[in-house]
Amino acid sequence: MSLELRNVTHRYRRESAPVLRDLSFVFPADRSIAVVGPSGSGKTTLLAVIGLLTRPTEGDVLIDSEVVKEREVADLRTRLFAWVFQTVNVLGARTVTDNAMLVLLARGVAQVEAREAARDALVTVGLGALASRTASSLSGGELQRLCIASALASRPRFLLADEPTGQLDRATTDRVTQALIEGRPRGTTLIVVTHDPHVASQCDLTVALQDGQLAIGGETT
Amino acid sequence: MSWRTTALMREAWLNVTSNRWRTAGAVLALGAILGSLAALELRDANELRNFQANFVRSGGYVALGLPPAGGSADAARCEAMNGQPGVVAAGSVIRPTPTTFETAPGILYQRAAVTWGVLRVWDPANRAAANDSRQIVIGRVMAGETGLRPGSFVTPRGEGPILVTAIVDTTRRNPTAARWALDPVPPTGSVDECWVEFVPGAFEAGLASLPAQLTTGDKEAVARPYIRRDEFTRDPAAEFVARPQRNGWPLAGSLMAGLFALMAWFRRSELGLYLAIGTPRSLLMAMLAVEALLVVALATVLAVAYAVAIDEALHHTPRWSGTWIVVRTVGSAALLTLTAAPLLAVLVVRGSIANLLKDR
Repeated sequence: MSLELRNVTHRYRRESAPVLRDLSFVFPADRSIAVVGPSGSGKTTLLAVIGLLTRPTEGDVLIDSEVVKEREVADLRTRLFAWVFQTVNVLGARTVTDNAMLVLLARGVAQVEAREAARDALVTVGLGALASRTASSLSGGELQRLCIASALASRPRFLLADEPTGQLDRATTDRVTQALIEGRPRGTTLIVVTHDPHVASQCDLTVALQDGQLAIGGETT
Repeated sequence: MSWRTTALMREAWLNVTSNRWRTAGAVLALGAILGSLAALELRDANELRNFQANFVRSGGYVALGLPPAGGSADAARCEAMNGQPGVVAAGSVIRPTPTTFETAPGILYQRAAVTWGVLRVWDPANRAAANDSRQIVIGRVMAGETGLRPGSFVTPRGEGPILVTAIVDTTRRNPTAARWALDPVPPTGSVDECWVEFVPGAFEAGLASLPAQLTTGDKEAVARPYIRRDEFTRDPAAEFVARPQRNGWPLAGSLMAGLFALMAWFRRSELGLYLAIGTPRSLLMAMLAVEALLVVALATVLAVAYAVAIDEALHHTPRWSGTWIVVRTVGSAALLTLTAAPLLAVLVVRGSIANLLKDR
């Protein structure tokens, strides 16, 4: 399943300078793609536009060459996308399994199936033994892996990660990156925003965001 | 596809039960608001109820019918009011005259001919009844002073012995008669006083129609309340309607809904997560409504228990005497909260989901 941005421009305010400027790019399916760029270049905004969390000021998002319409956004977001953020977003008082099930439950999957898929995903990221612990009792690296497990459990077509290793040490970064890249199901496109060249080097493709434009190997698309 | 209903309900339940401190804090805060409102309602309801009860016990709905100057009022007509709609009891005092008794020489007691109806007005708890003319009923104070009791005989000066059939306690309704010896007589001739007790709602109309009911000649009888109304300027019904906390429930409800909105503000990241995984705002609102329902239900139970305990400790009033008022007021506040809280919470998390996820 392909994802394309076509002539996307985004401003936070009408009079402000665009963060994304007439950007067009096709993200190849089933690949891992690292988006790099300096701080403030708009990487997180780009990811929010891709993941249908933010509607661009101008331009379109296309999935399988079809323009995403406003009324489809909530449904597509649920069915196709999963997120891993730098700031860990979990329900701290709930169990690790509950958190990992959440995306599936939001898709209307039955409790039993959701629990089973969540357990599998937790095993994939090495958290199988911590399934019944509360999320707030996990370390930073474990929490990030929980977020990845939650994302993987839903078997998304697009797995979007925003600086997932930003606050982790090298050893944990490697485990998280491995969980993201190798743990993702077949057919899932991984788009990871990162400052870390080590993480970017493990992806199939690296694109740079600068001045509101995306470039591969220094070439503007 | 989106959340199944059971899964969403379970999610709300788990959010409430797994965040014990947050839930406990919310329940306590809401319980304090609702409890204060409930305690105020219970205090006023019981105070008014007690006032009303005392008012009735003291003869607040008793009227006196009196013959006009130079005229007469008919005892039979007075007695005939028994059984009329709105009349609790009616009876006549016919001839009060001072007398002495051989068993208590030198002490002057009042002796009055009365109908049985007046004894029911003066002593509502009295069940004594007899038709034998050779009998007498003694007021409680007189009985205490003379040592008389039912079954004793008294001998009024110049008469033979008479059986004392009952002791009546007239101290609440007619304290003077507590030192009287009362001769029950049939209702004939003209009366000195016609005593009529009405049910509360029938008093005003009964008082207005009483003169016409008693009048036999050209001159109309007069009627007045037994208790002067200006001694009881309070109007319990009007006071109840005007009580300030009657309008307290919108304030309490708004305050509690505001608390939920504040809690949602501190849960922006968590609620943003639900939105990010594709939960529609309508379903998020439904989940928050279930959470609010659980918290408000717990707070309501706590509030009513608190209010009843406080009321009982301070006023020793019957445990559930004002419950319906408390339930109505507290229930109104709770319903307002349940309506407004999810709406406000969803308003708090409007805007960019990406920004919500970054919030802490």
